[in-house]
Amino acid sequence: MNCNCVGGEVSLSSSQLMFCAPFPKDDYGCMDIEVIFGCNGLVWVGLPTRKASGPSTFHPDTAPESAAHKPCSRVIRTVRKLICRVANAARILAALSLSVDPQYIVDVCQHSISLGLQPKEMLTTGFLKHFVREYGLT
Amino acid sequence: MLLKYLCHVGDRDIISAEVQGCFSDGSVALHTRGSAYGPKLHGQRIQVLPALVKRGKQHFFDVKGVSEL
Repeated sequence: MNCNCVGGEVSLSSSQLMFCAPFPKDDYGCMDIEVIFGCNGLVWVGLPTRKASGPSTFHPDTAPESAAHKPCSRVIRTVRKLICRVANAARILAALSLSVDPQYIVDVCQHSISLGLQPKEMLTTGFLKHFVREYGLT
Repeated sequence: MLLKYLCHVGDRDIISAEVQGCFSDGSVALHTRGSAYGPKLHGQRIQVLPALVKRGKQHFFDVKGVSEL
């Protein structure tokens, strides 16, 4: 980046200007992950939709048209990693034929964090073996 | 009302709703009662064996106490 200072004004050249969508402050503090267990075996792991109590926040009459079919664009990396970690914990429990229970999911997540593993490393054979050995599942 | 919903929910989108009723023609009445229901964004759906999911009164859970590295 080059800076040219003329008469107190600074002009920038040979650089790039980037526009980033601002995050609401809530997104930084919201680290709860919602898990919905379907009786048919479908499990949803994602950001909670109910941030406030009361009636539904989604109303087709009032929702802006511009919000329709928008891709996921406002999930910060930390939250995305947390979603992946929780989903991988559920996958591990299912792979081990264990009950996919909220408390077990938290246990698996905390165990992987204590080992310093990234979410993608949770699905490796090494972690599965370690988890089985640690919890005496052999 | 349905057309307005279709503006916000596309094919293969995931929503959570209560099933109010099933009809003989194969249609299903869904109800998004309360703030917990509606289109589901920013997450992932996984499939496990149905037998591994315990049936209970509450199927919505908030995972708390887990912080990312």
